[in-house]
Order: sequence, then C-alpha cells, then structure tokens
Amino acid sequence: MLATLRRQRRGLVILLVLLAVTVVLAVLTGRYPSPGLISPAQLLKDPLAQSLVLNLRLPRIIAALLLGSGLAAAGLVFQMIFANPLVEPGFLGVSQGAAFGASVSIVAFAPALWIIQLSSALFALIGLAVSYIMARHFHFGGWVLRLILAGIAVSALFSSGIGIVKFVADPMSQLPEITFWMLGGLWSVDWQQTRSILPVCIIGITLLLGYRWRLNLLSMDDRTAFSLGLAPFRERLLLLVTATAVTAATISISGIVAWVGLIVPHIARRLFSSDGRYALPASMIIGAIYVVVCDTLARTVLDGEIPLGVLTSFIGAGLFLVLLSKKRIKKGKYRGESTP
Amino acid sequence: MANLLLEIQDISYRYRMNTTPVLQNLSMSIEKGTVNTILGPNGAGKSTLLDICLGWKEPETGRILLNQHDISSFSRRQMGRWMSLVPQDEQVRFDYTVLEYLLLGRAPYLSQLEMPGPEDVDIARRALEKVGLQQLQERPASKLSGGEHQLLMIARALVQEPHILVLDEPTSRLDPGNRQRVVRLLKTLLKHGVTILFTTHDPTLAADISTHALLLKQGKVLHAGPEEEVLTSSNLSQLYGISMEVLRREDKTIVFSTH
Repeated sequence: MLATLRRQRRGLVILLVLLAVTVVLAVLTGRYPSPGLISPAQLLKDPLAQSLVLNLRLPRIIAALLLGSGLAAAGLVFQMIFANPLVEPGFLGVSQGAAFGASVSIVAFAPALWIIQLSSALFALIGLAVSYIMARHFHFGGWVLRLILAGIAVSALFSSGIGIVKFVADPMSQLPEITFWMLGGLWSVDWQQTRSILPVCIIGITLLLGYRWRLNLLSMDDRTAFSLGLAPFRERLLLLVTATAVTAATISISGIVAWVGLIVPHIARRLFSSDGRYALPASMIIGAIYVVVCDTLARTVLDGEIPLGVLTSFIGAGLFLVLLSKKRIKKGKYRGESTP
Repeated sequence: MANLLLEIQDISYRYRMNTTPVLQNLSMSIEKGTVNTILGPNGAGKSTLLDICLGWKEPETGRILLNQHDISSFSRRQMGRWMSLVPQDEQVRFDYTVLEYLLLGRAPYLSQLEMPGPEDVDIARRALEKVGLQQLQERPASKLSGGEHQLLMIARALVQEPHILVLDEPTSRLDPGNRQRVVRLLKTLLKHGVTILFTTHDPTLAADISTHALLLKQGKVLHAGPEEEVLTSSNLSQLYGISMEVLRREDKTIVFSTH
C-alpha cells in the first residue's frame, strides 16, 4: 500500500513537472516574430513580444489550464457519480444548454462577449436544473437512468432550439459567429474573461478535490453508499452542481470543447488507478496539459486559427478508439459487459 | 431489557399508495450477541425488512429503536457505525484494488473531506486477515471469484466495526466450499460478540448458525423466537407450503423437503 502510494505520488509530481514544461513552451510558442519558438533571450529584448506574451498568450494559456483541468475534473466526477465511464460533463443538457444560451444572445443582443458568456453559463445551469426536475418526475427506472434519459431529452430540446435560432440568424454575420462558438476556441480570451471565471473554477475545483476519496463511495450503488453512512442523494447533488458550475464557467468563454471530459479521465485511470484520490488530480493535470497543447497548436500551426474544439475532438476521438480497442476495456473492465 | 439492540415496533410498509402492504404490523427485536435469521418465501418482504432496519426505507407506520433510541435521531455517520450491510450482490464498477475497496468501510469514521490514514489501512488489513484474503490486497476487486467477492463484502462490512452486521442472503450464490467458509466466518464473528441479522432461503444454514429465527410470510410474522422453537417441521411446512422435515442431531441440524 505504501509502495503504491509513493508510486502514485511520484507519478503526480512527474505530471506536474510535465505541465510546467508545457506551459513554459506554450508561452514561448507563437507566430511572432516568426512561427515557432522564441528564445527567452530574444523575448527579453523585444518589447512587442513581451506585450504579446503578457496580454494575449498568458491569459489564453491560463484559460486553457482552467478549461482543461475543469472539464477533466468534471468529467471524472460525472463518470464516478453515474458509475458510467462513458459519461461526460456535457451530459444532462449542460453543453447544449450553453450552446443555446450563446446562440440566443448572439442573435438577440449585440454580440458583446460578456453577454454571450453570461447567457451560455446561465443556460448550462438551466439545462442541469430542467434535466434534474424532469428526472424526479419520471416514473421509470432507477434514479441514474432517469437522469440520463432526462439529460438526453433536454439536450435534444436545446438542439432543436439552436436549429431555430440558426434558421432566423443573419447568415452573413450572426450565423458564422454561432458556428464558431460551437466549434470552440480561446482566440477571443483576454485577462478580463479569464478573471471572470477564476473564482467559480477555483472554488469548484477545490471542493471537488476535497471530495476525491469520497467519490469512490459515491460510485457504489445507492443502498451500499447509504449503508456506509453517506447521504448519497444529497452528496451526489452537491458534486453534480459543482462540476456543472465549473463546466458552465469554462465553456462560457471557450464555446463547446468536446472530448476532454470524456477521454482524459480514462487516461488518468489507466495511468494511475480508479481510486479518486489519484485519478482526480491526475485527470486535472492531464486535462490541463492536453488543452494547453491543443490550444498552442490551434494558434500556431496555421496562419489562421484552428477551432480548439475541432482539435480536441480529433485527437480525443482518435485516442478513444485506440483505448477502446485495447484488451482490458474490450474484455469488460467496467462491469463485465461482454462484446459480441 | 438492556440487551435489546434493535426493536422494530408495529411497522407497515408499502411501495405505492393503494397497493397491498409488503409488511403489515410487524414487530421484531434483536438482542446483543445473537444471530438472527429471517426466513420466508420469495416476495415475503425479507429484503424490505432489512432495508427498514438499516433506515434505507421508511415505514408507513410504527417505529424502529436502535439501542433504545429512535433511529431518526441517529446521523448518517452514526448509523454507518452501528450497522453495516453485506448486500446480496454488488458490482464493482471501477477497478479498485481489494484494499482500496475495503477502505470504503471507514467512511462512517471520516468527515466529508477526510481521507483514510494509516490506522484505517491497519483496520482494513486486519479485516482482510479475518476473512482469509490477505494475500489478495493489491488485486483488482473486480477480478475476484464469486466466493472471494462475498468474503470481501463481509470484510468491508467488518471494517465498519458495526454493532450489528446485516447480511442479505449471504450464501445464495456460493458453492458448498465457499458456503462453508462463510458459515465458519459468521460463527467466529458470533464468538467475538458481533450481533448478526441475515436473510436466507436455506433453513439448514439458519438452523446451523442462528440463535433466533423469524418466519415471514406475506408481510406478516408467522413465528418468531429462539431458533429451536421456531425451526420445526410443522412451522417450516406452513411457511413454504410444502412438506418439510427437520432432523436434529447433537450439534447438527438438517432441513429437507419430503416431496
């Protein structure tokens, strides 16, 4: 046990070092003065480069850190609470709610960034609330199944809402903006936006980290968790709302960034253990590295910006296919499901 | 009556309004240091009764006293220290190791943001030794055999250090060898003063290890009391609706159907 503990801790330290290196490289990478890395010496000599780093790259990298760690943490929490490794934070109407909120505000108001941000965060939380209330009124199946079904239905409702908004949107100005928002990206992020999500992210992530061992208990079925002295219903709700708030805050400045919350927890469990004590911090660090790397690629590789959501999905889905075709999951690592 | 640990007084329970009650005006009491069996046909309300004892289901009428206090006055954590449950079946959904899985049993002793420490690990290790699985502590819990998994669930319940150990059909899915391991373990626990409450479909098991028995039929108590008074041929025949025979030898009792 102690050896395992030491090994897991060493692993986390290595990941943190890797994250620090990634962040330093991301700060030095860009398209000014030429595409690629700028040397620290050159950076110190060039006031324009310094200003670029301070005002454009740094807030964006911090936003990427928050986005990656927040989505990955929320993903792991969702997967454990629902005892389902295929769940992600966009579940329960959260992502589609945010997308609906953003598109409505783009069409209805002048597209001021803060209105889009507020509206998407608000509708993400409304998505969760409606899914939750609907699930309570269903007379069908267990609690988790009801929540999942309600989430699917609410997401579908928001999707059709987005369809209507797109239909009435001005095809020259509003429609491209909606499309870009839904592809996800951090190109418009400045210090003010990063600061605006900082409190929710820090409070939320700290709370989730505090619960990292208890997540194991909440991954048990209700009756077992209850017999272990928990109030499973209340505790799950607290973590659900916290994880959703973190998701809503981060995607409110980035748009939809898919696959981070799904694939990163899988990688963390594989590299460390299923125990939330290690899987949650590992998930957060790997998520942060993943998004910082993807975002650096997004702003550097081409002359124009590649939407971040496109990159995270492309790489994430690829990784997912590789992971799923590995032996352990194929043979039913989770709940003995069989493959034909 | 200081020895009374758990008292169920006149409870009724139904799943939905306007349906027949699953349990009707049922009373039961459990003394310290006894092994209590609940026997009954499928659908008699055995598991529901266990759930009510644990506080997981709230009865429509009646009350439940734990150590002479109403169970509503106990916090969730206190309840977790008083009673632990060995469910009939439990899927381990993620790949926890045996030791990580056992540590979950320390939850009632830890506050919400606390993690298990070295002492908790020691307690978990001792429980593992008690059930004889100490060599498996780093193995994934999901890879254990059916018998080992049953022993693991009992070990987790012991990690809770409960006053009352509640088991829902503890041997129903076990082969005779593993069944015997569980029986021996329960007998050892009884010697150490643990109070046990369990349901079973196996009257021989009930006669073998219990001190008290309760026969439940259609949500009502048919007979209850000391095991040798309750587990008789006529009572069991009445319970299951078939002819049953109870053979008692010095230290062994065998129950079989004569059909």
